[in-house]
Amino acid sequence: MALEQIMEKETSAVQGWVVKNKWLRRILTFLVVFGPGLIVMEADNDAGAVSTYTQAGAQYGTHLLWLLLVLLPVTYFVQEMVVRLGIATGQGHAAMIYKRFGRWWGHFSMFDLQLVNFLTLVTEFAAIALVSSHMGLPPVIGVPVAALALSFLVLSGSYRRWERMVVFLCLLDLAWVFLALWFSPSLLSVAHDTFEPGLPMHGVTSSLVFLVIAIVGTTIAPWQLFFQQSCIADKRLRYADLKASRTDTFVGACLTITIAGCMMLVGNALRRHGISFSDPAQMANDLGHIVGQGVRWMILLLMINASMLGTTAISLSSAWAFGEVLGFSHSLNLSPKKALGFYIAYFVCVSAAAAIVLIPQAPLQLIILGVQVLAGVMLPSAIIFLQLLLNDKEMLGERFVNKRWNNIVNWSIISVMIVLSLVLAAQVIVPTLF
Amino acid sequence: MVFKKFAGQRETLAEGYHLIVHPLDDVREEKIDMSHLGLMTLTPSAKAALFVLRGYLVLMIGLVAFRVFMMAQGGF
Repeated sequence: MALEQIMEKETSAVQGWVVKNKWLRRILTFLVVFGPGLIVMEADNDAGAVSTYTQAGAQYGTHLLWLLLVLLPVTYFVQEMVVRLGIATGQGHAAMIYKRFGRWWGHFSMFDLQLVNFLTLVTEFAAIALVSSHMGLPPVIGVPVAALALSFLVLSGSYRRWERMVVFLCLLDLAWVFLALWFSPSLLSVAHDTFEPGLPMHGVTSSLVFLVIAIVGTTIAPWQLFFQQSCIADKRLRYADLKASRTDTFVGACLTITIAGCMMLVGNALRRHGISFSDPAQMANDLGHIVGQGVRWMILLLMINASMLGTTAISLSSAWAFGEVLGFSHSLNLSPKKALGFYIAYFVCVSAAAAIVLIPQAPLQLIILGVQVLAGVMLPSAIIFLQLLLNDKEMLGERFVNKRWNNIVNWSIISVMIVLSLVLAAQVIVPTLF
Repeated sequence: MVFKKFAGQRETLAEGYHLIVHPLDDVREEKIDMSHLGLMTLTPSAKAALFVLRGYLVLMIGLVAFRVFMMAQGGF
């Protein structure tokens, strides 16, 4: 039975801004709503994404830019479903799965989320350790400093303050555009390879297939579904904010895809100079020798930025999920005293991942490999639950449930994701398969 | 002024003017009431999707376990 939503307009006082102009009203409405969409998209350009996109550019030049354009609507459609679910229910994704699918699937989703999140956090700190050693700072200092900074980021007891700081970090990634313009080949060839799908010179090879799947796999991660829905719930977005929130998500998707393309173009600079790619930090050193130390420092700092963004978003998605499932207070609007369990969950995620990276002889390469496999394996399950929840007319009513065209598009995306996840996992697990 | 701050009752807003309130400054909106809802009533297609998902997960976790076993045998 569809449920009707009632918006209570209590006669209590509110604070805001008054405008007469219709356009100004739209702009200000967008400005107060935007944040969750931009953050979830840009935080996806984390350490793993930097590595993947720069490697793609270094190995295949601009030949895979078209793939990013194809992924733009994919990432938007998936996150748009999350927006609708978050605004309609005011609750997080983990809580929804427990509520509507029961304990077995709820426990599975939580275990899946926490495991993949934790391993991803380890890779973020591994990147921080790598960059800090390239900067001349021992990881044993750089990693704890980063962990402390990430802890202070959430300690303000104000969602707004956290959001402003993280949006600032997201906008710092625009420096990749500057780097791409500096290193870019002709804009005509970039435009050609963006809008006309094509293959590199040697055609389809197993390493190309692997990289394509890795690019697709970094575009949508399970934590994004949980993060954005919890973020929307914490920000208390209203039904009237749906349109602005969709715009926020779309702007975020465009930004993240643009930045990803810029990372490819920076990687392409190595290829054009005949230098082979080993990792992004080494790429920074190599490009620094060519154009100057300023570029080297910029790339290294952008890698740190990417890791910090990824870490705060992923840790929060874990902490929010714990709060929703275990029933303790879980809001950035609450001080640590009032939401102790939530902040402890966040700090445990950050500190445990940082600690593992500092263990001598820690099998980091095995963990990085494991994350690739697990994320690819677990992604379809996260999207299927999302799709089923968005078809739950009994819960959402006619207003928020998927339309027919939504379902056609989304089931197509899910099918492709499952096939690619199978190919990725099979290729990594059985390397001689192709 | 192009826009100005407002603090007061919504009802006192003059006609022709629009009020923009940050979500965190606004009164809490009543969301969908789920207290009476239990588990989702699964349609045949939803049941099929979850069945396929279980099969997929069994297969993939088996593959992962196989690889870990092979790595343990052969070294990483």
